[in-house]
Amino acid sequence: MLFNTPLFFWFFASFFILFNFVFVERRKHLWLLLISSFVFYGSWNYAFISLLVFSAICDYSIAQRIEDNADNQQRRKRWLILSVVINLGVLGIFKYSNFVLQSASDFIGLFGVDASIPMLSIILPVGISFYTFQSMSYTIDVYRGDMKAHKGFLEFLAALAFFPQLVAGPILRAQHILPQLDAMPVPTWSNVKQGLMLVVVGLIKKTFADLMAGPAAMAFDASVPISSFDAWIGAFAFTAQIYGDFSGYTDIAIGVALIMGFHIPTNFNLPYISSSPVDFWRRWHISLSSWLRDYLYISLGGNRNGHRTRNVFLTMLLGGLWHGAAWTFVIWGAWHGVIISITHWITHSAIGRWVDDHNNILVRLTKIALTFYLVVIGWVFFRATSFGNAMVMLQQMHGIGELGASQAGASIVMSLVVAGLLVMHVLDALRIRFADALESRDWLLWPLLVLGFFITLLVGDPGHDFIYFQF
Amino acid sequence: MTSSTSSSKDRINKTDPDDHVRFHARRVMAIKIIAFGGGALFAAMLLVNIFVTTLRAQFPNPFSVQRIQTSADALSSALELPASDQRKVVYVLGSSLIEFGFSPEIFDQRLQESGVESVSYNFGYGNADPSIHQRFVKRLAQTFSEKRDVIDLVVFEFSPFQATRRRAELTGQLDHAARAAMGTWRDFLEVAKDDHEEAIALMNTRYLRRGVPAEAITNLISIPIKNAGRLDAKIEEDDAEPLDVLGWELYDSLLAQWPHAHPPGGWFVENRGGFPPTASDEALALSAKVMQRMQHPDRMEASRQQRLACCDMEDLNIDPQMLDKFIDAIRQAQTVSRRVDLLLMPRNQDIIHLTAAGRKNLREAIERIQRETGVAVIDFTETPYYHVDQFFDADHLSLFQGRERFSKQLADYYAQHGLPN
Repeated sequence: MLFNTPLFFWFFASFFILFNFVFVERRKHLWLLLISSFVFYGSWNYAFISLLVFSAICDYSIAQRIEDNADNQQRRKRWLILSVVINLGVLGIFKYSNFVLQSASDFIGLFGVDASIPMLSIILPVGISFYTFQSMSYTIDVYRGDMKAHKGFLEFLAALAFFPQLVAGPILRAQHILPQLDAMPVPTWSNVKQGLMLVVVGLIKKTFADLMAGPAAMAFDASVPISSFDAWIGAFAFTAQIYGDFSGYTDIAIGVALIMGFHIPTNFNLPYISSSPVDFWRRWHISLSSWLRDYLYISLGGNRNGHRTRNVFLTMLLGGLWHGAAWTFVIWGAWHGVIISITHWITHSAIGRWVDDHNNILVRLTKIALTFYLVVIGWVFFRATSFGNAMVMLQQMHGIGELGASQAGASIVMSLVVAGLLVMHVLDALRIRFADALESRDWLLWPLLVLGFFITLLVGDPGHDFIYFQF
Repeated sequence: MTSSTSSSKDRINKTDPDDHVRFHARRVMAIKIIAFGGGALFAAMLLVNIFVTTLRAQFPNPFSVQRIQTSADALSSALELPASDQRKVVYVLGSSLIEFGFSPEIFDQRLQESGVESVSYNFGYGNADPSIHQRFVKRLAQTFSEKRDVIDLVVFEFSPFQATRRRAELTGQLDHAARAAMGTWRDFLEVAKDDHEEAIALMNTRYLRRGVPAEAITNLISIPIKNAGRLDAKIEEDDAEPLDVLGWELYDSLLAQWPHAHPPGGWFVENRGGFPPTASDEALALSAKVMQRMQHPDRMEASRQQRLACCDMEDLNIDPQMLDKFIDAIRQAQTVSRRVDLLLMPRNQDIIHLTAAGRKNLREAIERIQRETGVAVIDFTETPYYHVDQFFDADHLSLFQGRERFSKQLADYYAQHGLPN
């Protein structure tokens, strides 16, 4: 059930009526929320609801054990390790087992041995990476003493299954959502208007993202050599597509939650105007990057003991692997690990000091352009079907190797792709800049909502999955 | 993200979650949300409907779905045709080759000269691939088998290039449009059993966007891109009098004379689906001028290239599923007509050169259709020879020469071979 489909509209409309007019007591709200979340998730596959419940039971119980053993650090640690093993085990089995088997088979094949290891017949449960991380962070928080173990399994399960963010994030922390489920707040009129704005902006971004899929596919899936210009069109188109698709999804998720009265933290903040790769990760998929920072990077030692470069690299490498069971994602993560490490090094070098001293508009624009270039290079690995495919794209983008002729109308396509990329960012920038002003001007907000819905209904083509569902 | 910090709503959130004051506040807020957000959504739906309707009324074919609409109109008309006729009722079904190439009036007139009284209908329309034929005939069969049995003959044109693998890859949007335009509630419910999203999308296309798929609207953006790639766009630059200007003149001239027929699109019972048989001297002269320009060798080559790109027109690698659908369409037609014949239209042999593989693929496809349906084949592809000046592009017969010749030729065939008793 995709956010940008009429089916979700009817699902949410039914939920909304029941939530506000029928089952109004808190306990009934929780049950309704939980059942609705299961229906939402079940529209992909009902069987995997049991996996979600299993994760919830494990982490809920383990968190209680950790708290019960407040005076026994050894036991607390063992319980935490059990939680991590279970969560990563589930993730490993469902997401990475075939990847490992295939890689092992390929590796053995390098030595001339035909090791045709049979693959497992496993379906990847949608959203597993999101709710596993969410669930695991709860036990880690309890272990670290950042929050108390929650009393009430229903709230915990409802939080984990919370349908607006269940299948593609943002990754919610238990300490953020559980108090809201306890309080079950009524949305303020301000929340509602913010929420509607986000839903509309998200729908428009998703619509634009779907329009970008074609030019991206033409370059990445080309069976014959393409021109350098066409390769850049494909790379820019995917850069726009993934931003519109993913940030659009999270905008809708946050907006829907706000209309229900719940706050979900923001997940994107104009990432393509970042001034460095470090800045990019402060603006892109913020809930994941902050999760990786808090639970992985810091656990590895963070900046301490002179191992920052190693820890950054490992964190980004695993962050890449989190995105998908393929070497292209690992390379994408490694690429970001490298460019972040180099950024750290430059920042503390003479060049970095010179840049700090000359931080004028030209320098800032150069930093943004350079960061954008590095990010686009990363997206090539992210989108490519294989390492070879990525290398061919990169070579074509830089005019190396065999090149084809430019497609007719390529400059028009490039203009549209760049315009799409700009429109998405401008929409976000305007929303951030003028949201408060719009809130107090219903007469202006309402026509803008109509316009947003109009664009979506007119050119929106429901049925395109959100890219991040595969993670 | 900001939130209100000093409103009474905040005070409400300090009350107990099960306090009745909070229930009331929640209900009031929900009503406001429905009015504000739901109202915006409803207004947007209304605007989309008005926008699409207005554009379709103002321009001849703004979303390139007029051909699909024509087929839907043709279907509606076919379902409403008189239940009985003393004359022999002939339905000629097919692609745009029939749409432009067959004149019911000329055909009936010619047969009448041979002593056969017939009333024929042109049910040819652009982009009619086998899946569209299948839908069309299925609806005919659903309706006619319950009510009547009046069709004496169905002449089913087979356009092999509409059934190629390459063509099959490109049918997505058109197929969706055809399903939306030609489907019924019963069909949408059938789709919903397997794919509820597609069923809702079909209803959106049919009712919200008045038969226009979302993709067709975004296609508007691609027009300048496609034009940039057109070979004949370069020819255009050298023309003293651009072809599109002449084309619009001809369009206006024909429209003035035939307000209820092509070229505006749609299916009109006045001419039994075809173009009127002739036109004024001025329109004929203008038409001849336009045809001559369209027959420019470079423009013909551009047209050929376009057919090769879209439809694999010379190698004709037939898609087995498309062929299955065409065979099913014939079988359905056989349930409501006394006889069904298979027709192959004259090919523009000066422009389209079938390869050896193409000939073999075509022969095999025809043999299979014959084997599985038992239809007779009327093969006009190469005999008699049609010169390039009887076509206005790589495959369509010209409006006032090619069409007349073919319609008479088909009538002569039936005068000789007879119509079913």
